[in-house]
Amino acid sequence: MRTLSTSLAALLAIGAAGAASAQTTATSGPFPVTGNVPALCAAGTNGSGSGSFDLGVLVNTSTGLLRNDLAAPPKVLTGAFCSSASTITVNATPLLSVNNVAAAPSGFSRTVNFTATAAGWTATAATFTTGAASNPGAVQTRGTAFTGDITVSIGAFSTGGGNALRLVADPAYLGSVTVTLAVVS
Amino acid sequence: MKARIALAALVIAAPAGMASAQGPLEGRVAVDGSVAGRCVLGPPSQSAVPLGTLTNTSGPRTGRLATIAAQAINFPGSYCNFAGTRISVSANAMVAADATAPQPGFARAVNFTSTVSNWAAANAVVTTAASAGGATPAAQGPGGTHPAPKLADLTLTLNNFAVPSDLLLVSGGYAGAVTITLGPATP
Amino acid sequence: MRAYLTIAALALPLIAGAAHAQTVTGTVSIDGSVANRCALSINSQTISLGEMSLAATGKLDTSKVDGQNRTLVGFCNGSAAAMRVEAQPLLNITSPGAPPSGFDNRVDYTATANANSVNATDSSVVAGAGTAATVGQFSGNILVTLSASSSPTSGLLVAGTYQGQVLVTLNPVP
Repeated sequence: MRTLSTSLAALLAIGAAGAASAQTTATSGPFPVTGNVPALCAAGTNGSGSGSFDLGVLVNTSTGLLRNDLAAPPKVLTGAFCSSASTITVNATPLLSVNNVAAAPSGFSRTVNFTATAAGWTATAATFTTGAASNPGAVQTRGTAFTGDITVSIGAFSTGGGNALRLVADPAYLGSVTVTLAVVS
Repeated sequence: MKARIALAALVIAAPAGMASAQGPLEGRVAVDGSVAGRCVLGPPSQSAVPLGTLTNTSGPRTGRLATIAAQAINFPGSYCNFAGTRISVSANAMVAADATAPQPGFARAVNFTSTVSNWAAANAVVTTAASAGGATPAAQGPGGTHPAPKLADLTLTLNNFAVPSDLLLVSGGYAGAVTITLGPATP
Repeated sequence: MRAYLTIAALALPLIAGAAHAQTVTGTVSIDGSVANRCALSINSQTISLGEMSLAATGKLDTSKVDGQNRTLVGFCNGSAAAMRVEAQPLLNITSPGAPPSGFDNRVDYTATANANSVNATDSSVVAGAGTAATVGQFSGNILVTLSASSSPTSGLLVAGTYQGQVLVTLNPVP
């Protein structure tokens, strides 16, 4: 018995051999990493020992008038900084007799004026003169963040009311100098 | 007298091309399909890394970089369905929005290290190396290659935050970025 | 199919010298046989499924498999003819080794052959053919349909090319 051979072509499909089709890549991000640095100033520390300008005896003991050679070494504030633009302000109160609070009698004064200077922060040092009608130079501006030493000094002493007045006696005359750093808002 | 005998020859023609058998006979339906190579990163557990205030506001390190805890973003259910894949990380250091060159003693960049773990034997690790002035903030690099398809939960960790020379930081907003990629090791 | 013709010996009884009638009738018997057999005029088809995984999950897209069908054509001439199906799983020929945890590289399914309103089925999950069904005498379409597709762990499918087949066996004399 003979069987007829098939003349049909076998339909054998073979799938694409070898590597998988295009391989995809996954990307996630960018993830923002954010933070902020506040604008602030730190005053630094006084590297010059005591926090007082000690002037000693204020008057010429012969004349009773203000000495003309009063001097005290400047103080240096180290490690001060502002993380943004800032202003430096110097403020001062005159030396006043602590124990003679009433107005001095005629011919006398209880006040010693001076000029305080804060230098090193700005191009123009900030200065404040006690007893002056105005002190436009007391506030100076720095346009950038800064860190550096601030030298604070006092000088240009004068007797409140005139150098011809004598100072009332008091072992304690007290004034102050304040230096302030502030961010520009 | 002749007897007529009529014989009809009976012939059935067989149709052409038919497979035929008296025993079992087999037909075949071949089935083929394919699966394309694909990598997928799972949905990130957060969309950004906000660090808040970067500097100390009091104490001896006022104005300098504070201690910042490690940050993590998770990508659960990440996978590649083919072998020979790797993670790559691209990072940009945090740089101040103010582009002014900083004064001596100040920096305007915060560097950090980005690590993606749990994919290959060698993690993908990249550390930015921006200068104090904010130059060269970008860094990138690949991790090891994994030799088989893989399904895993991935973690991106940011840590080792540092300011060049530990300088004071200028004020303002800071921004950097991290991007991760999962794909064939040899594109 | 051929019919065999056997011609039986022709016997014409002759009686010598006898008187004959006007007509005489002789009988020629014809007998033949038809063996049980089956045949397939279309014995090979292909189902190409294309991309089998879901883009969203990476797992088997059963809608790509279930319902796929092709038609073979043939006949069987005996009432006892049987039809049997063997479904062989789709196996990844690009990456045939054991897949990593979370992955499958094999797709199983059920194949059903329908001829003469009779179904024979088989699942590829268990190796070997399914139970034979008596299809009897028929001539025409054998509809092969895929259904109930799955992968062993319902996991991600490993990339690559997958191949399987459905074998339909017609047996005229089981």
